[in-house]
Amino acid sequence: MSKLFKYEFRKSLFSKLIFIGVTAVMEIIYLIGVFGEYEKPLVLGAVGLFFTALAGIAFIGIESILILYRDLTTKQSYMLFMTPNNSYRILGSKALENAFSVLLSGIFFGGLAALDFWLLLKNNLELSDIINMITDMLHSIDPRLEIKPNVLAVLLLLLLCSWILRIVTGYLAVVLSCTLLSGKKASGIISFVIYIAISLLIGWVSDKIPGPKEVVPSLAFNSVIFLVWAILMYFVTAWIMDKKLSV
Amino acid sequence: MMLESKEITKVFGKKTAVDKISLKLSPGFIYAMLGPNGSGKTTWMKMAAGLIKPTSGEMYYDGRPLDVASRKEIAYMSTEPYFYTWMTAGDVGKYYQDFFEDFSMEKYRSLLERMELTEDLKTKALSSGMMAKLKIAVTLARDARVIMLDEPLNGIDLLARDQIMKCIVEAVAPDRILLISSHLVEELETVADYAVFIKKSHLIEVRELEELRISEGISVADKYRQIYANMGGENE
Repeated sequence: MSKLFKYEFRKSLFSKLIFIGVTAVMEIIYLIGVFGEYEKPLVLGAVGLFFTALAGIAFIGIESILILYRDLTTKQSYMLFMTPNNSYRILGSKALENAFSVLLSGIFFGGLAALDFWLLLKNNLELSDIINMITDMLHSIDPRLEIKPNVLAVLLLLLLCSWILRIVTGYLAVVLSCTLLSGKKASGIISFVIYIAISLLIGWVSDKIPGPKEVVPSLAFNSVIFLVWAILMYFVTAWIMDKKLSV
Repeated sequence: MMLESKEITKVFGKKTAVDKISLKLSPGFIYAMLGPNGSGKTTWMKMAAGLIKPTSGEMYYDGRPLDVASRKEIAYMSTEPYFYTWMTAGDVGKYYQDFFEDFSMEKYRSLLERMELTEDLKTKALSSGMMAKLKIAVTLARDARVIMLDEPLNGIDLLARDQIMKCIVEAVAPDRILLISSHLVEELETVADYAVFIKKSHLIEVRELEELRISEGISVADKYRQIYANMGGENE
């Protein structure tokens, strides 16, 4: 599976390099602002870095779904399905590579943000200003959230699990359009509607499951729920591929 | 060790691409799969390679239903280009080496040299003839028990065609099945042991070429004309 993983990583390498390039440019602008004490480049760099991080992480996930679609609908599919790997391994390597890439990007952008805040603190702002800025950001997600290492860690876990679930649900929609709906009119639209319906159903069922009330256990519990759903979606998708997919 | 299809059928929407074909291929021989475009040759091969799931019937390899493990011993070369566009010829070899235990990098390099290709060539920049040669090289560099080549001579000039036919003949082994589809009937006649005639999704007959020449006194090309003559424009 490590070999499949390696090639999945290679398939999205170009776009990752583009995001790293854009990040480098934004970081240079930001650093000019910090060390030159120019307000405009500082704000431009910070906003640019923030949106590059958001767009980068979102794109990594979406690109993974697009790559799966290409791998199933073009002749490049032979490169995967001629090899002695079953659908579970092929799909598993895609999901794992994506989770790994999202996690790595999160760590990369998180680390860069921490470094940039530290530089800002050292040169311009007071610590209290930075803490207020992060607190405001967390409160926009959930008013109960505070800046504590365990809260941040569990929040990161929740975001990762929720993102993996969205991606694996996207895989299911793509596989449905290429198997059970293949050759039918508007298969793309139908599979998108199925994606929305499954996402709503998962949300509705998850809300009905009683969980802990405190912030950290509640976030951890929801992460586990998302992960269980993602694993279920993965098995359903791989099973459909195994039984129905012709490339 | 045998490759066999039993009553295998594949339906795409309203079109039946392969209709109840039962066929047995034995090791040690070269089979020429013949038939006009759309007769079902490629679909049959893709089912044997595990790329297409049959609608009904089953494909067997070595007496057991075809599965993922069978792909370790079955090499298939598609007529269409299928390599990732970011790959060089060298990357293609590394990819095969990563996934197929029977792949020999040494043999691949030697075949590339014979085909006048280099490892640094980018696959997206290859002409159709060069791409065909690359596909042949990487497929024949596997020591697979079954080798299926779908239209291997497509887009290849006469001189390179001779070189490729030589490589194909060299791949013959007592424990290997070689199946080649082509519309260049005369080219295959010189190397094939059996001809498999497929017409409009059905298997018409499998003939040993030597027996065909002796019993009917005709060549494969003549037999091909007999079988497909009334198909007009559908003939290749």
